[in-house]
Amino acid sequence: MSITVGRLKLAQPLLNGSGTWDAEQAHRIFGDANPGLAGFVTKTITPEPRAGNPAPRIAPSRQGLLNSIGLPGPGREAFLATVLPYLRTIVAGPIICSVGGFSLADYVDTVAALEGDPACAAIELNVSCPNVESGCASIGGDAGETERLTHAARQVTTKPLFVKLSASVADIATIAKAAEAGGADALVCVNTVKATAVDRRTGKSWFGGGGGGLSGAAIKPVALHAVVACREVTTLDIIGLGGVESADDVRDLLAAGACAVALGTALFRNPALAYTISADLAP
Amino acid sequence: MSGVVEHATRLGPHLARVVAVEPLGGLALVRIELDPRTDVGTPGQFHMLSNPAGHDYLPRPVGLIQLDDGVGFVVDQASAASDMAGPEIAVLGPLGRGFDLSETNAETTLLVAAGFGLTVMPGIGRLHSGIRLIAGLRQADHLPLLDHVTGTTIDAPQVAPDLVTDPLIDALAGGQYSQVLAAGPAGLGAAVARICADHGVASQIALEAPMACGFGACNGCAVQLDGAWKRCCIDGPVVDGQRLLA
Ligand SMILES: Cc1cc2nc3c(=O)[nH]c(=O)nc-3n(C[C@H](O)[C@H](O)[C@H](O)COP(=O)(O)OP(=O)(O)OC[C@H]3O[C@@H](n4cnc5c(N)ncnc54)[C@H](O)[C@@H]3O)c2cc1C
Ligand SMILES: Cc1cc2nc3c(=O)[nH]c(=O)nc-3n(C[C@H](O)[C@H](O)[C@H](O)COP(=O)(O)O)c2cc1C
Ligand code: FES
Repeated sequence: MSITVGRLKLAQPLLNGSGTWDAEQAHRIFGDANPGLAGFVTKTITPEPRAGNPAPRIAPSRQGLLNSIGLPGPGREAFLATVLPYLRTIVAGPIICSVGGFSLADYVDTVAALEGDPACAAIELNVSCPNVESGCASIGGDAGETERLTHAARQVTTKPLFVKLSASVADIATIAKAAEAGGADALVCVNTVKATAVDRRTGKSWFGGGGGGLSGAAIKPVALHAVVACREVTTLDIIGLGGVESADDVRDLLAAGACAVALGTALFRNPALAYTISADLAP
Repeated sequence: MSGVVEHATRLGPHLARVVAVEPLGGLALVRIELDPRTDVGTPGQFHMLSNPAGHDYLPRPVGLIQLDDGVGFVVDQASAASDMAGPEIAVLGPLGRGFDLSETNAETTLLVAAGFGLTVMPGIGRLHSGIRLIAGLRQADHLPLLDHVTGTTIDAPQVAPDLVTDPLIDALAGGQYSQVLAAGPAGLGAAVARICADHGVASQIALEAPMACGFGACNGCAVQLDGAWKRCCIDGPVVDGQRLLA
């Protein structure tokens, strides 16, 4: 079932969530860079290389996973010079580059740098990562900043432009409208939900980097609400994600108004999940 | 659609049948019958295990233990009673880098292991019978675990708070050993690597870290290697001890 989401053509509606799949490692370990997925969404690219947060970075939670990873990555320059060209040789389908940063200029510079690279089929602005100190979620929590950033990115790219939203905001619908007004082609709902774990011995954050975001089955109702709320106020295409682990979860998000669905945390338990879901979705 | 199903079965975790759960003091040995498509892997590699009917949301990394009469894994009894004992367990793997055993022999290689790290050692003992092992136990009632660490010659075990590093220092002073292979909880690895470096002895250390995926996707298993945060599941879990000292 081929579909179009925000001007991007996909052979079928299943993608991965940014930061929950490493195509390079999957290619090496499983011999399949993006098994059963219509394309590949990269880990969020930051302007400079980042080490990520100190350990511990993850903690189990009932029906979910808490993480405070902190956007580790090689940085924009190395991504463009080595990572993206290699991904293009192993990934089946379009590559969607997730872009993050700490100021408007950070995002715009990366989007501009990707514009000239045909290996990047679409751009996803991550304005919703809860695990870095500034930028990201603070932009996505404010309608004015979201519109300004989306608009600035729109000026430097003709590629399909997606904006990934957080449910940890006062009113996701106003952020969705701001992204639309800024010129987004599609919305991605949702990033992890702000949450944390405390060290019960000290009362301080369990995570080396503080912060934290909840993903997995526990947030599926949150994702559904976000899709419904955005659907009511915009005509933009929506990629739904959050706690998807079965064909019924996919059906629910599509019914709520998404036109594509991404798998995240559930891939950790079953890296072949997209194949299983596709088989179950088949008429 | 049959192609899709075939891919799902090839890549996904395979179900292992739980044959028996045997108490080992405060621990439990879960004996399993692996699906023929699942490989035990080399010593030091691990598998991600999850109970399809259990409460745990995430799979957990576990080293399969090569028994004289089959395969199993060891967990604490509370886990065995709740989440990690079937009737079926989904097993994904083998994953990660195991020990490089090309320079290993029973005369010049010394094994050091504590806690769940002990489960790695029978795999090495099978290949190098009689190889010496310095063993550490968290509690005295974990002693029965050592009955399954076959193929090795075990020194009198150290029970916490006694440390495996004390007999290690004595053993290296003799000058017989050129290599140490170690597995155990966080903290043990760096201590063993330091002692080996001080004695001019090579070391390989199997690390433990919390993991969500086991195949490089989540970036959750950060460990310090060469002075930077690296993914334990793909750079390790077995690493050259020098990498812990930078
Ligand atoms: C390569 C490898 C091999 C392994 N092999 C085995 C094996 O053979 N058998 C085995 O049982 N395990 C093995 N482990 C460890 C295993 O994956 C689990 O970490 C272990 O079983 C404990 O799981 P858990 O869910 O009980 O604890 P977790 O929930 O993972 O917690 C880990 C520790 O953190 C503490 N903790 C967690 N959250 C908090 C908080 N909020 N405040 C304070 N403390 C907290 C817990 O008390 C516990 O001590 C291995 C790990 C690796 C990486
Ligand atoms: C370990 C981990 C790392 C993540 N990294 C990123 C990231 O770099 N960029 C981003 O936009 N979202 C990131 N996410 C959020 C996911 O893409 C997804 O939006 C979220 O996990 C909800 O989906 P799920 O419940 O199916 O996992 C990450 C999530 C997890 C669990
Ligand atoms: S456990 Fe997920 S990257 Fe290592």
